[in-house]
Amino acid sequence: MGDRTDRTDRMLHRALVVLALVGIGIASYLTYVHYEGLSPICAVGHGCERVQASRYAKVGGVPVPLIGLVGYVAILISLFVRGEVARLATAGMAIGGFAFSVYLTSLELFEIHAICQWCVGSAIVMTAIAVLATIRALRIPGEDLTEPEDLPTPMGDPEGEPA
Amino acid sequence: MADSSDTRKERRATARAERDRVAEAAQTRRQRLWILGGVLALAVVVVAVIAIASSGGDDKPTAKKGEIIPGQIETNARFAGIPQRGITVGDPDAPVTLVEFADLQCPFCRDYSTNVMPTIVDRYVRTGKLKMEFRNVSFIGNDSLRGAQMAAAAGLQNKLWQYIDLFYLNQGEENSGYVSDEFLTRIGRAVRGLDVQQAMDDRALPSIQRGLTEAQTEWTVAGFSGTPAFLLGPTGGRMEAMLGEGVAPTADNVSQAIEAKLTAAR
Repeated sequence: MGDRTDRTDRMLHRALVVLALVGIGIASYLTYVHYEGLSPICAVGHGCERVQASRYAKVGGVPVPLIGLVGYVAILISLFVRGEVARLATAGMAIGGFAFSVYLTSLELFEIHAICQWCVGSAIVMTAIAVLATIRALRIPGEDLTEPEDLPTPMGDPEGEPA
Repeated sequence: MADSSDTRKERRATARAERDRVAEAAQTRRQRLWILGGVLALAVVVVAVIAIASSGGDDKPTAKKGEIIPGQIETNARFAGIPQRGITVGDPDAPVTLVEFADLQCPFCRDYSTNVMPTIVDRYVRTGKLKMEFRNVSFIGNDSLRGAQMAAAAGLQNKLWQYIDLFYLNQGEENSGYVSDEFLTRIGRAVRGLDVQQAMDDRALPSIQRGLTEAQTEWTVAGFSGTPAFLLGPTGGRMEAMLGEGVAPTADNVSQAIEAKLTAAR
C-alpha cells in the first residue's frame, strides 16, 4: 500500500530541500553583501543598490536578507524532522515567508520603485516552497488505499483463517 | 448461501470502514487547513504591523529652529573657516588630494556625504592635510543635471561644498522632478553667504556646462562606471582609484587610505 503516496512524498520532500537550499544561497549572498558593504551583482540599473540602500532594507534594525536566511535554514531543518507537526511547521513557516515576500515585493514596486532580481528570485522560491509544503502537509498517509488494487480481498478474511 | 451473505456483510463492513476512513481523512485535512489558514492570518497581521511601523517613522531629517531646511546649521558650521575655491575645499597646499565623482541623486553618494565626509573634513581637511575636489557627474537623470548646474554655480561663489552637503541631506525621490527652481532656491538660501539669485542666473554660463562635461569625461577615463568613485594621491602627483568598485566608503577605510598617502608624501 501507499507506494504512490510514498513516491509523491519523496518527490515533494526532495523538491523542498532543493528549493530551501536555493533560498539559503540567495539569502546568504545578500546578507554577505549587506555586511561587507558591497553592491549586489545586478543586471537592471541600480535596482538592487537602491533596494538595499532604502530604509526598508531593515526590519527593527535586522537586515531583511538575514531574516530570510534564518527562515530558509529553519525550513530546511524542519524538512529533516519526522512527523506531522514538522510537516505543518514547514508549511506554516513557508506561508509566513510567503506573506513577508508579498510585502517586500510590493514595497519594491510601489515605495522604492526599483526591482532587485535577487529579492524577486527569493520571493519566487519562497512561494514555491509554500505551495509544495502546503500540499505535503495536507496529504494524509494511506489515502491512496481507495485505489482498487489496494482493497482487501475476501481471501484475506480473518474469519477464514484457522483459529 | 451463508457464504454469499457473509461476503456481502464483509463488503458492507469494508465499505463502511472505508467511508469512515475517508471521512476521518477529510476531517484531519480540514483541521490542518484551519491551522495553516490561522498561520496565514497571523502572518498577514504581523506583516501589517511591520508595514505600519516602518511607514510611520520617516528617516528624513527635520529642520531645527531657525533653519530653512534640515542640516543647515551643521553644514555651515562644518565648512566655516576652511578655504574653498570652485570645486575644491581645503588648504591649496595640502599634501594629499581626494577627488570625488558623485551624482547628486545617488543614494550611496548621499550616504558618503552624510556619514563619512564630515569625519574626513574634521580629521584631515580642517587640519590642512587634505584638500577635496568634487567632480559632479549627472548620469541618473534630469534632476541630477539641474542639481549639478546649481552646485557648480554655487562653486563660482566658493560655496559648492555647503550646497552639495545640504542637497544630499534633502535628497528626494530619484527622477521624480523634485529638483525644481523652488527646491534649488530653498537649498541656496540655507547656504550662508550665497547670492542665490546670482547663482540661479549663472547656471546658464558656458563655463558651468564645460566643467560638468570635463568631470564626466574624467570619470569615464578613470574607468569608473558607478558613484561615488574616488581618486586619491599626492597633490599634483599621480592619482589612483581609492577603494575597489562596489566597496562602500567608511570613515575607517577612507582614513586608512589617506593616512597611507600622507605617510608616502612625507
